[in-house]
Amino acid sequence: MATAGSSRTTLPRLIACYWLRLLIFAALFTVTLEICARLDDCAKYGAPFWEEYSNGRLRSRDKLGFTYNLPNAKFEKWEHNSLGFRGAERDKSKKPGMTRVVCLGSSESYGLYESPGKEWPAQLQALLPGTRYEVLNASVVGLNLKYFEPYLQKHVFPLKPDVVILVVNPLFYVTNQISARMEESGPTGPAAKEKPSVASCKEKLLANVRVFPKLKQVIKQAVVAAFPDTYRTHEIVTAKRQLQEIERNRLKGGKPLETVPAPYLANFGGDLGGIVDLIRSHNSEVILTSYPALISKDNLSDYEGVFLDNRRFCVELSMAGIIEAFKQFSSVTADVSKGKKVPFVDMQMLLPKSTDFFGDNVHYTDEGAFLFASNVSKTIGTLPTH
Amino acid sequence: MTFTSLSFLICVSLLWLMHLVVPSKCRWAFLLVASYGFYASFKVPYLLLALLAATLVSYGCALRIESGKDARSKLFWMWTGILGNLSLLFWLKYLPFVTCNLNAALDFLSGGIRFPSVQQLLALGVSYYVFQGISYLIDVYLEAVEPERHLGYFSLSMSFFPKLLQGPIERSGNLLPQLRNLSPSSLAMLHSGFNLFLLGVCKKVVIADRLATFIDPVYGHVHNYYGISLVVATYLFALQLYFDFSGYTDMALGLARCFNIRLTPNFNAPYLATSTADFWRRWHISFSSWILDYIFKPLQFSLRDWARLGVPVSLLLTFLVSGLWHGASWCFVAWGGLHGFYLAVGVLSKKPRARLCKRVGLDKTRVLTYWQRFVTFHLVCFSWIFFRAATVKDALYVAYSSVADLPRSFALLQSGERDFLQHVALGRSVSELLFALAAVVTVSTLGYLGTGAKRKDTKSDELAFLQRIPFWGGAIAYGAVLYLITICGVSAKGFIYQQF
Repeated sequence: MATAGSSRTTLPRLIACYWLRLLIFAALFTVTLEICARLDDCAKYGAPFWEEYSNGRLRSRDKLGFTYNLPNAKFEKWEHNSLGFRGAERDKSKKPGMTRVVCLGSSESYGLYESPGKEWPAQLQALLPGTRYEVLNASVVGLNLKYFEPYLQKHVFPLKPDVVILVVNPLFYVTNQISARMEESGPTGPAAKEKPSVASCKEKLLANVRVFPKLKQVIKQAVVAAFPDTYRTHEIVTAKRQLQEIERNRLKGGKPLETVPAPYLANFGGDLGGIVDLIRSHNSEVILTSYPALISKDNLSDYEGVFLDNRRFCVELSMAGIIEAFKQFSSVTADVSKGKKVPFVDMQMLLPKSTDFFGDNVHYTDEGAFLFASNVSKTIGTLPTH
Repeated sequence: MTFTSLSFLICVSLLWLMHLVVPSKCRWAFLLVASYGFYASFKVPYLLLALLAATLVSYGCALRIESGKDARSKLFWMWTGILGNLSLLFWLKYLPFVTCNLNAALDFLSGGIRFPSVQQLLALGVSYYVFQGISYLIDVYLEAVEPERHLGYFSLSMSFFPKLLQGPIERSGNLLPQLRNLSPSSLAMLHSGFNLFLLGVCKKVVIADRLATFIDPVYGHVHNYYGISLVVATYLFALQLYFDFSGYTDMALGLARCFNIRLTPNFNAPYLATSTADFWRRWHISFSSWILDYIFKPLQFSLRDWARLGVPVSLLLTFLVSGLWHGASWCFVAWGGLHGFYLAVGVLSKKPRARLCKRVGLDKTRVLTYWQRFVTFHLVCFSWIFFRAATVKDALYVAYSSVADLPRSFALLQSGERDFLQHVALGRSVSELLFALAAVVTVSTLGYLGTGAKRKDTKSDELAFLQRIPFWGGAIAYGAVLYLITICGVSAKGFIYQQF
């Protein structure tokens, strides 16, 4: 027979049992999600089940601190051949009768949003006759003009390319120039001088949990589809807040530049010209391209969130400064091509400023990469020996 | 706002929470506003008017039927209501088809007169609630049900949001009594509803939408494919259609259960049918029972003097109407006609077939059952060609090339297994296809277990056996299903039966 005393002791026990069951349920639920994520990665990408799996598997730094792609590395859709390049497997030595074309740029040429095999160098290979042309994508995420020379010497010239196509990110150059003036620059610029941050336990745990980034992406897509305007506003507010934080840390009270200073442009012209000479000294032809961007003065209000996100990589320039920078650097590149008598493909004019062709401000969709490749292929056809 | 969209899930969760606190007397009004709000979310104002018109016509005519002084006046009001509903359906769905075909006929005959072209209007859900209204009027006329005097309850029965877009086509005898006594669902009912809804989402986004990525390019450009590709695409379409529609139905039934309403089940393992008649007792049950009760039986009665031909002709005509209901296109008419033909031949050949089976000793054997299922499945798949193809010409090409170009497909084996596999996988990833088929097998097994459990306990729900697994098993199951739906699900496409 239940007594008042026993019911008093049973109730807290019941509540504790209930909470314990809920906790066990939540833990098992989360562990199941994580196991499913790992099995999914194993099945889809051949990822290891137990080891850490991130895009850090794709790149490393050499003794001098330069970033390069790891040979035979694989992470999700990004896969390197034995030379450390995206694309089909290639021999180090050139086949007789083949024209070897090397594409050199940063993430926009390496490929970010494109489906596998649809980054512009791969599409260029598909457009050119396979019996006569061999295209290699030597691009590395974050590659800066300042580091083109050591990279070319170590990874490109040994391949004896016939044609080298250069896609130079102007924003990285500006950031690098400003950093060089602000502090003693190492091989990796400001990053080398930053104190290495120690990841907290929470950060370490989140870095090793694979399901959370996947769920975050899915939730983001669902929210964007369901509440596009609200999401856009939130994205802009968040980006502005983050930019203010980055500006505080990087500019240290200074104001962003409204235009790229003439000395920077002159340095860019000089450096680019030097790279062109270097490549030609190795008996390779050069094709220069301007750097296309989605944003312009006319469509800034349509893509404000995209633009603010891109500005994180170059807070040293204001919004107007960045829009102007693409034009200024394009003009300098055109001048260098004229001066050095090398072909110039003005991608900035040729790629329409629409999200049909751009995944964000500077990276392309499959269609954008195709347009890029087709314009380059036309130029290759006009080269004197090809 | 589809059932699988985030905005719908948020809205329905809030609705459910709010309906718990709404006074019981006002719950019908709350759900009625929610249902009209759901319909309004598609931003097609004339659809709201169409729903309102169908509701008021059916409601008003039913009351007039009841108050009619003699049989003639009752008949008059019944036909007024039926024609009112049908004219709505005709205007929204069939006018462009009719004018287009009339113009084609006039061009052939005289070349001078033409009807003005009419733009095709969106007719979301209209076919379903119009048929519901018609069945209500006929039931009232036949005194099978009392007319509903409360406009609110009746409006809710017509517009109840889980069944508004794709059915089931509810009979008043089932839905109205439940709406008069709305109360929050029990925990068991809520659990059952939630599980059913999840299963429906899984069927839709993991299986049906994934299969669609294989099928749409093929049936979008049939002449770019041949032989085995077309055979595989047709089989996959049979699976896609089933999982798409039954997935929607599971979601609708699950949602309704969360509000303590039991809707009519629409499917019962249709591809295990042993004849076309059996197939129609298992596929889109609410629709097939509707056409059986309101088209076939009256036709059969009218043609009772046609002796042996009465039933087959009635079946043929019924299914021609069925084809037309599915869409204003000759492809759907051909599809419906094909099923009518199958049923007619089935009826005419029933006795000879039974005699033959008895003679060879196959009568009531498992071999016969499997053979019947095999034949029925392939007859149904053949008809799906007409259901899916854009034009009759495309359908005929698919039917012809599926057989005639098989040697050409097998010739690919000579150039290597890879080319052949690519051909079979319709130019897409073989592993993706295998994953979809694995999901089909898994969900079908769950369904089979559920059917088995239901046979033992007819009062239990479809997934009642899942509620008996321990809570830790539930955590693992829900985790796996959530992962499949959110990460492995294919981006939302519309529901196939929503277009009808």
